[in-house]
Amino acid sequence: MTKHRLPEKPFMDDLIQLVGRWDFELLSEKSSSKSGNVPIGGHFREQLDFIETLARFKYVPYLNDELQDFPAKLWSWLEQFETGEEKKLAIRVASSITAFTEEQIRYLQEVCYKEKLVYRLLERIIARQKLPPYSYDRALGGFDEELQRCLVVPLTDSARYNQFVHVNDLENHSKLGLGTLDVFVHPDIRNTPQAVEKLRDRYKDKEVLVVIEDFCGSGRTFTSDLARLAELYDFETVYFCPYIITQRAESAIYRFARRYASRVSVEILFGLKLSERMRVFSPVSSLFSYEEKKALMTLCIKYHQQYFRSNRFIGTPRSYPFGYRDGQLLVVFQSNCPNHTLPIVWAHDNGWEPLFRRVQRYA
Amino acid sequence: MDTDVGPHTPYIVDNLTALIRKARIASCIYVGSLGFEDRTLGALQSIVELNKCQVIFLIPHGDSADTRGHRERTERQLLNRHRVSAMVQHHPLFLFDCILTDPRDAIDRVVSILEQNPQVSYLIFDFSTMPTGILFPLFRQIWEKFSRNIIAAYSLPSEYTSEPLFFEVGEPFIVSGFQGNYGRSDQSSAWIPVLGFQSETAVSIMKWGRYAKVLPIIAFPGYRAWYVDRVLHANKELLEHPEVERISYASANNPGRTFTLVKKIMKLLPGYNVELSPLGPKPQSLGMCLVAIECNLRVVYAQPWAYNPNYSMGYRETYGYWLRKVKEVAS
Repeated sequence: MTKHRLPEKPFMDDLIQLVGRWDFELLSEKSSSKSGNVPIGGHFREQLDFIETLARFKYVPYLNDELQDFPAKLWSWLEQFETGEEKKLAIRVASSITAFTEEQIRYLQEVCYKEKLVYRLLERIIARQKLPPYSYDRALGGFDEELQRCLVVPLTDSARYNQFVHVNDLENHSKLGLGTLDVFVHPDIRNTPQAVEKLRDRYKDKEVLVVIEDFCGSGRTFTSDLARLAELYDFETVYFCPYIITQRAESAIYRFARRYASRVSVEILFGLKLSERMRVFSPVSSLFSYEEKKALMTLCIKYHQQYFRSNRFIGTPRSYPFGYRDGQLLVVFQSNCPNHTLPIVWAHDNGWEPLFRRVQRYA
Repeated sequence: MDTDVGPHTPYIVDNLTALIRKARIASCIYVGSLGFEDRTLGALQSIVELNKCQVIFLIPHGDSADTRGHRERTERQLLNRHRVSAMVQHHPLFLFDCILTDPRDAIDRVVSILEQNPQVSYLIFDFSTMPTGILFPLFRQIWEKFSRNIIAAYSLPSEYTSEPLFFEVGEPFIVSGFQGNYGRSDQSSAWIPVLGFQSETAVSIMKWGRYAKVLPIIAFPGYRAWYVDRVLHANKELLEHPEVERISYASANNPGRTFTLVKKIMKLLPGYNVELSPLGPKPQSLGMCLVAIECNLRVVYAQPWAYNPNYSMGYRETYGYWLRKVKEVAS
């Protein structure tokens, strides 16, 4: 991980002055007890310090742009909120963001493979050869053969298949994987039985399908393919390896697999799980107080109405003011921002300047 | 640097209860540390179900009672002591007082019991709440002297509170038994710390050591998704030093990954005397301990004097790490 010098721009000074004034006002309000405003957690200077740390260590380069003036971006973003109370909430939002760098994603690719998938494959060898429990050292002898029974397939192009192969020292990987899962789900333009049969024949030696993906927010993309995979092909086991998954996506996938894909054994081997606590408005989340949650809901709905109503993923006819499929997250990746994050952070419709502009993958 | 004494890979990591059941462990010696946290008794729940076991608890004490939170810590530790007595009614129980600044006497007594029981083939080493100043010298004795299967156990709490782990920190010192064996004392020193939420210890060791190069490690994935961000912020002043070259990640709950990473980092540091500091999650401390033993490295630490009695709540689950030596597996 590298450190970045933030540009010495007046925006940082402006921000410091602004939050200093808020902290002072909050202190005065507390002493006079006259405020009728929603109590928004104070210590704004501390929150700005936290944002500054992350800007230095993580936010640059966002979207591969090395020359970003994050304080300027933060300032312009804040300026769009209409009232002082909204701006305060926005600073709380910005300081509650969890960011993942490319290096972290690479490490999670290792976690999925080296800490999880390898052990599942060793357990298969142990079961096949009837070895004593945990005889990993003896099972290692059959590992390459077991790996050849696997087909590693990215769910979408953002899974970074080549990177997954490289960080995990997988040799002869050309025999391991292929383009994306779409090859199986849509083998040709009409999904003809002949095309399916051709694929079944080509991969008849593969018992295990390993599906890799960078982020799984709702489980929708994977489950929509899973039923078809289970119906058409003969894989014994499907290991789904998202580098990051949400708790609700994990539950949704297992629920779906039990109902619609019970013929195959499905297991999720994630790198990192975002718990329900990471969903902003969840009752178990402590990112914001109850009062702050209510105020933030109102704010998200207001700006969704004003700016994001026509967004293909979160706008009409599906209205998701709190992120795609009601994600309610505050998560950013260095390579992009998931649309499950609150739209005020990433959407750039109708002139809204987001803090972390999302580049849409699909046409 | 690669020798045959380190832990064998692939590392065996599993839920402790599952591990005991699958490996059909019927008897063992359990060694743990009796702290004030609820999870101090987490692993014991799996152990007391065994037919035969001997339970040894070290009871850590600071030098002074004049520290913040002392009374509350002592009361909770006493409560845990009563709970242990209630849980271990059918097995031999040994309780040894252990002074944080000089744990040698207590360690000798543990070693003596292990020596008297050569027939017991499994040793459960519960380091969940064991202070670093005890963990390192005790584990070294166990690792170097005993060839039986060592299963290190680590219990997670249900929840960490947002309060700090400790309030006051002592002067940095070299951990007993980890002076390191450096051919040339005139060589520059490089420092590999595992960083945690609180920077006081790291800052004081950094000043003390005057290191030419610093290559910190942060636990990732950690207890929560935001763990890395909080650790970066807590240590931002230290990380701004020009000596800090790069930051690396290692999984919080897998000592093997820290072991492998430290050895990998050391390859970048030929000609440096490498010193380690375990200031992050305990499983990473164990990983560091294994490297320090294998490569005979110096370990520097600053002892917190006053731990926060409200740092964690409850008990969630226990991981078991079956640590087999490379040479044992090979033979």
